Amino acid sequence: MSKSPPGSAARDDPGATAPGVPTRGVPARGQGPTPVRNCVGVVVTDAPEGLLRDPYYSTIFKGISSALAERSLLFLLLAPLSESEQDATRRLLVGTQVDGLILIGLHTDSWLPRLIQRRKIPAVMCGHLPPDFGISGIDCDNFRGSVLAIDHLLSIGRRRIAHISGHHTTPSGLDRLMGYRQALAAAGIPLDPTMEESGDFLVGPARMAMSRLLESHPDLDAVYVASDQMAVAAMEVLAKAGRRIPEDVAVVGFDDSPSAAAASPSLSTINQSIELTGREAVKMLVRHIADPEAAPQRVVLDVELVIRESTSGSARPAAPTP
Amino acid sequence: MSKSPLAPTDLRIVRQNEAANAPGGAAASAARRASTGASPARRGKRPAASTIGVVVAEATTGLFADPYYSALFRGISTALANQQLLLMLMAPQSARESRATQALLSGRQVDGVIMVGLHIGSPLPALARQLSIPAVLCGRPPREVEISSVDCDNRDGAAAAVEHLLSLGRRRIAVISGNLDVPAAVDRRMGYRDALAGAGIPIDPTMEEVADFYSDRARLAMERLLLNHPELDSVFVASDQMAVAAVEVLTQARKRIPEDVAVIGFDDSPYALATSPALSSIHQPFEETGTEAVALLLREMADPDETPRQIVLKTKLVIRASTVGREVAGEASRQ
Repeated sequence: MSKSPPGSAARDDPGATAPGVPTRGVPARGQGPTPVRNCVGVVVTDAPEGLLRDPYYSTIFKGISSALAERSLLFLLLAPLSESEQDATRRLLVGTQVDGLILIGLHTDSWLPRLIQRRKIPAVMCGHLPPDFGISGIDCDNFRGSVLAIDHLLSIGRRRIAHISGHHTTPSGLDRLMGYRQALAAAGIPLDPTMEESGDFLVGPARMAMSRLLESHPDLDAVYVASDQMAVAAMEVLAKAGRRIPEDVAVVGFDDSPSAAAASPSLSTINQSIELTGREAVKMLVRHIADPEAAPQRVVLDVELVIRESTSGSARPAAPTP
Repeated sequence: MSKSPLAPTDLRIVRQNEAANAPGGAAASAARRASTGASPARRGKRPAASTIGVVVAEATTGLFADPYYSALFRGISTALANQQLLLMLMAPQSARESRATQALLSGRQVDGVIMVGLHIGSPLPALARQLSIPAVLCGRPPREVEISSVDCDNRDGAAAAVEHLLSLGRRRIAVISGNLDVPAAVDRRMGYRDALAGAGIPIDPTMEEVADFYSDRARLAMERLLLNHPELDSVFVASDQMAVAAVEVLTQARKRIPEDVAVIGFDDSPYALATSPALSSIHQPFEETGTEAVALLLREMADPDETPRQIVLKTKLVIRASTVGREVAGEASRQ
């Protein structure tokens, strides 16, 4: 690993250029990192397979990359999975001084937060609020999204409302679960842990979760699913089991991804302005780059309920997508 | 066509386990990561992964919607899985971003680079060569730089598209091409001209429009063609994405497809199935392009003294209703 030059910003050190390294691929030793100006690294941890086709990630990248392109900043995407890819990412970011970083995903490995702190690299966490390593973060109000979803289902007379949750280890998964529980408690409906199943934000597990819920609670009359992708899979299971949507079972998803409007019946959901989240993350980062002494910000974007056929039925016209 | 040295089934198994083990928190995800890393579990003893830069000439906003790129990346990332290689994606647009890309290469932070869809005159191939960084180009290689490349036979594929129109008796054939600072666009227009020449039909520059591989310009191009040549009986559009726009314009102008105007695209991407009638097109092996590019790159990274190789993958004519009509297409939808 190359040694950090004394003081903070290696990027302000004109001497910190890579020497002519005779061995290809070996990072410069004893030298500062190579400054690469006008470049923002976007580091994604725990990326799903088919990252670029995933509706959540491709939308957030669209927001981030368009906001970067407007400022002529190079978007540099890294999505390490294996340990050796993580090592290569660390080697790259230690050897290169980019203008800033956008972190997506949990980053449970501490090397990146430590590097950010040590080098004072401007950084923003996008899609999660950072636990505490002193960087800015932006997320949507996951908790409130669940409350909006449950209140909507209650307002159309549903009482036996099940939940297919995401990861319990991610803040978004956890917050959505808490919002679901809170909204039911506020309506005086006793909590039943057997009405909750985990779908891990994946289609296969979501399908299994829906099947299990139907088996243990054949009389359930609604299901709130923590992502549209999982919700569409759950609706397939419901249809196969002969349940009419929404007459027998109303369904609400989360994200308002393109698949929600395109589903049949179209999916009511929580719009979390994914693209806007990405754009705002860039705005926050650019502000931080301009003023490195500014205190870290935590921004929570509001969410919106989008009502479509899976709760309102075809009798009522679907609300237009915002 | 060379075969990839990687066994596809092995790669898929590793990816599946990762996805299935997603739940469970930090312990499970650490176990998952350890299972895909190289053998020694102790940090520091593990061979560090190499970093592969993937430089794309396309605007990132177009990138995430574009079926070409998502299939290409699928090919690239599948081929790289299990190889202890970190992928780094960048899509420089402005001059500042290009300089940043060059700085990354010059800083030797990248062990190999795959360049996609570069514009004619891009300095990157020469830079990679000068820095002795193993590099592969997806697209037609520049004449002045020795660099490995994987391309498809754009020129012959385009000729086949136009020959198909000729075989159906069409004679007043227009073309909408992509932006001509990309070799693929130049090659496809040349193929169009080759086919016309072969049929003894003179080139008419007013039957040729240049768009930019996107919908808006393609729409304008089709409108202009109809205005200048209301008698045209067919059009070769150099990408399916553009062809969708052309079909919209023709439909609005009450032209029956294919009876009045036959339409053929290029790529055989999901866009080809988005129109009514579905589009005949030229199938481009996107995913294979990515896989072959990785195989070439690994070869060069293993032995930098290997001479650069050029691979040209064959395209394939796919016949659908936009040229032969719905009835016939029902019988022979793929050739």
